[in-house]
Amino acid sequence: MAHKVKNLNKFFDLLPRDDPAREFKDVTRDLYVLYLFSAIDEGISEAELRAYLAEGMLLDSRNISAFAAFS
Amino acid sequence: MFAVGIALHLQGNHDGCWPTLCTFRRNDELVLPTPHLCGKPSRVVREVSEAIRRATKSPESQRLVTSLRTSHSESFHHSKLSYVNKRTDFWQTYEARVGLAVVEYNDGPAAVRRLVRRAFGLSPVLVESPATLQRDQGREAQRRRNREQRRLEQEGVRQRRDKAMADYAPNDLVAYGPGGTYDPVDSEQHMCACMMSVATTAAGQCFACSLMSDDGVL
Repeated sequence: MAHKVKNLNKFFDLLPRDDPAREFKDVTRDLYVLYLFSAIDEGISEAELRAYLAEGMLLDSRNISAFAAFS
Repeated sequence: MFAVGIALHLQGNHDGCWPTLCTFRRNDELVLPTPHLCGKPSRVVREVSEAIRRATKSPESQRLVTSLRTSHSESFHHSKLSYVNKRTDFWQTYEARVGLAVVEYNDGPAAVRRLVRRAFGLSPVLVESPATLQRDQGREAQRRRNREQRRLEQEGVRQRRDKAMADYAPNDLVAYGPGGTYDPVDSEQHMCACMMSVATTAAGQCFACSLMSDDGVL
C-alpha cells in the first residue's frame, strides 16, 4: 500500500503544470488511503475491494444509478 | 469506479461514498474544502476523473497484500553510512569503504579490525586494550538483546501476517513479491562446522575457525 500511495504522489507531480488534476493530489491520496485502510473494518474482502477500485461492484442499485447518471 | 466516486464526492454528490467513512453523507450542512469540483466545467471534471482513474489503477490480477519487506536493506544502508556518508565523494576509497561496511554488517567490528590489520601485514590476533574489549563486549551484549527482541517482533509480525493472509483468501490473485509468502530471515543460531561453538560470522564459522581460515590453516 505504501508503494501505491508513493506512486500516487509521483503520478500527480509528473502531470503538466496547467493540468487541472494537479491540485487534487492530496485529496485523492487521502481518500485512497482512507478507503483502502478502512476496508478490513468495513468487513470488505480483498477481492471486493479490488473490484470496487476497478469496477464498483460494492455499489448498491441506488449508487449504480447515480454513477450511471454521471457517466 | 473509484475514480468516479471521488469525482462525485468532489462535486458534492456523496451517494457513492461509504456511509461510515464520508462525514458529508451524515451531515448535509458541511461544505467541501477546496479544491473541489463544484461548479467546474464538465471538461475539467472529465480530465480530473481520468487522471484519478489512471493514478489509482491497479495491475490486473495483483493482490493488494504484499509479502515484501525492505527492512534488511535499510538496516545495511544505515550501517554503511558510518563508512560512506552521503555528503562526501569518496572517489578513491569508495569500494574499500563499502567492503568494510559489508564485513562489519556480516561479522561485526572486530572482523573489520582483523581484516585491516591483515591488509597492513600485522598479526590478525589483536591485543585489545581493556577499553576496546569492554566496548566490544557491550556491543555484543546489545546485539544479543536486539536479536532476541527482533525474534519476538518477527514472531508477532508473522502471526499478524498469517491472519491477514488467511482473511484475504488468494482468489487466484498473485501476491506482491516473489512466491507470495512471507519468509523472514531465520534468526536462530547455527553451529559452526567444527561443532565446538556457535557460528558467529557470515561464512558460518565460529571465531576460532574464522581466525584459522584467515591464516590459511583451514
